[in-house]
Amino acid sequence: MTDLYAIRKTLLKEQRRLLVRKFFKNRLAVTGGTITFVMLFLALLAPVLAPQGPLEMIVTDRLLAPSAAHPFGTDTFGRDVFTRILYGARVSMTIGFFVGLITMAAGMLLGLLASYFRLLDEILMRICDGLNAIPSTLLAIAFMSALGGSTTNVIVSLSIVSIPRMARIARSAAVVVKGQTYIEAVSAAGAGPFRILFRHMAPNILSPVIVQASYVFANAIITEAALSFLGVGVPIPQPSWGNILYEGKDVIYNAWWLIVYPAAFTALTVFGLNLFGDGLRDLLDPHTS
Amino acid sequence: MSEKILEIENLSTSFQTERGIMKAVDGVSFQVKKGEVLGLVGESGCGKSVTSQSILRLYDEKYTARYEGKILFDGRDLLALSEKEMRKIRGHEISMIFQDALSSLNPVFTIGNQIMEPLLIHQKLSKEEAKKQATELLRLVGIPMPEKRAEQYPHELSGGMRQRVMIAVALACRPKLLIADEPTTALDVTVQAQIMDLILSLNKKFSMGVILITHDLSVVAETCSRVAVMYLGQIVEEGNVCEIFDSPSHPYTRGLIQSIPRMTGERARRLYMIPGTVPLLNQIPSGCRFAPRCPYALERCRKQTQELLETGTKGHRVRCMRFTELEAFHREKQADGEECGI
Repeated sequence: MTDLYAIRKTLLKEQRRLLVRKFFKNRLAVTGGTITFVMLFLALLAPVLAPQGPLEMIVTDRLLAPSAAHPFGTDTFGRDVFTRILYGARVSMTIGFFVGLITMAAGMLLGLLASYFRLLDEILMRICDGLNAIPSTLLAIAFMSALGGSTTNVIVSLSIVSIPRMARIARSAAVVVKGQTYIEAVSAAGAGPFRILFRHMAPNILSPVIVQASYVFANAIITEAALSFLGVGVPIPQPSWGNILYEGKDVIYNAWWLIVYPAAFTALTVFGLNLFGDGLRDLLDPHTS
Repeated sequence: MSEKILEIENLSTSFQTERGIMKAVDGVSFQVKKGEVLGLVGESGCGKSVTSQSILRLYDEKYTARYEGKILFDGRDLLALSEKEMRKIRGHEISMIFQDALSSLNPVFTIGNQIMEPLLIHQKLSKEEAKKQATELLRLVGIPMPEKRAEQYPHELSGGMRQRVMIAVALACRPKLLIADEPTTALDVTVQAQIMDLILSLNKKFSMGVILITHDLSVVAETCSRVAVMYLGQIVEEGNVCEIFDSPSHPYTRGLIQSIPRMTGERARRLYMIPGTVPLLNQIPSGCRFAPRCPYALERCRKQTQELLETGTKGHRVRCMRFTELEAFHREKQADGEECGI
């Protein structure tokens, strides 16, 4: 009992060290995390790393195969594919991040409210069932054709599509937390429903919500690529992985690099994010060990 | 000392369940005076917790629970208040301590934060002010180094410490009534004694009323001034603690007391046991509810329902139609030197 504070500090440090070690022991999660961070890094540093502007056309350099000057070759307009993939990573990461964030916030809000107010629960959950009944890509295409193509609209429609599942997950976690004695105890201390929901229940349902958000992030990247490939996503001159694929499909027999590189980047990023999500789940969720 | 702060009249609490309406509390009446400790005793499932939670109206009234009767607190009928007015009373004028302190504390907040909660809700203090008071409260409930403890999370504390924290949360706004729902059941005996001492000393210090819910009669004997014994949602006997222990009038109370192992005197060959178990709420027997388990039940016990009767001693009431006969019977038995009572 000499210095409780110091003991506690070392204990905390030890705990944190154990948590970090547990994460690093999970090799897949580390791989996933590395891939994700490399992608984020590439996206952030695109203007520095790119040899050329993303929209800069050098007409004489059309459809060049990968070489030292153009590591991933050039496209039909003589734009550097490597540059466009780096800038495309920006688009994908932005969309993924905001879709993840919006879905998390809205899903948590709806899930919490649904767990507390029964009538609202019925209404919200039936709406979620309805939205879940339609395949999410189709629904996203429908929203996009209604809203028109732009990065913001991609974020909006992908969020709408992924909120129902998030709300479901948040609700089921919230229902469990609501039954805990400590929630009864704060209501016995005079807390109102909103204080209970947002101050006392919200932090307790964060883990499953964060894990789901990492999957939403990955899924948004795939769906964005699909939407852009179909021509209803990010409007065309902008570099996005889906757009590069879209433009490359016409010359697929002459220029394989227009298909292989963006597809590989999409696949790798999503793979990384999913692994990272699994790692987070193992770390945050005590129920699956 | 005779000012009544809580007066419950004919309280009934029923729940809508899949198997129909269950009346968990049926016509309970009692009073708590200022500075008094009232013990509410009974086996599991007799309705003591439901009674206490009904006082704070913690059950979901919209869908499952229904209250009837009157709960007069400081002259106001709590059952007539709106949910918003009720919220101002919870944790402010009436507080509650739960049985399991670990599950009653939110794992994601430090204990300091949790003690601040009622202060922030009811007294609208600033964060710094609330923090200062939280530290004071921790000191009050006997936690050493309160500044450091306030920054710890519930899982870092021992069971006794956690219960002290719960008491600090409950006392934060200086309530007039404290409801302690089996506060020591999850603790070991030495810590139990410390916690009971703490509750008693605070009860004296702030002269608040305390309702102590427990199935541990030894705790009641040491701490309470009055006792109400419940069986199947009804009070079967109520009175001064000495009378209840010295001359229990209801066979159920007598059975409970006889089931305590004794430290002194001749050792009984076998500990007394009340035969049978508490029936389910949808199988409440007609007539006296205890009759099927009562060794002295007669035909009329099974047919007639019995109201609480005055025994003659002030404030002592019992729900047994044979209590005078039984009293005489037990006195005779005791005179014969047979083991009986305490």
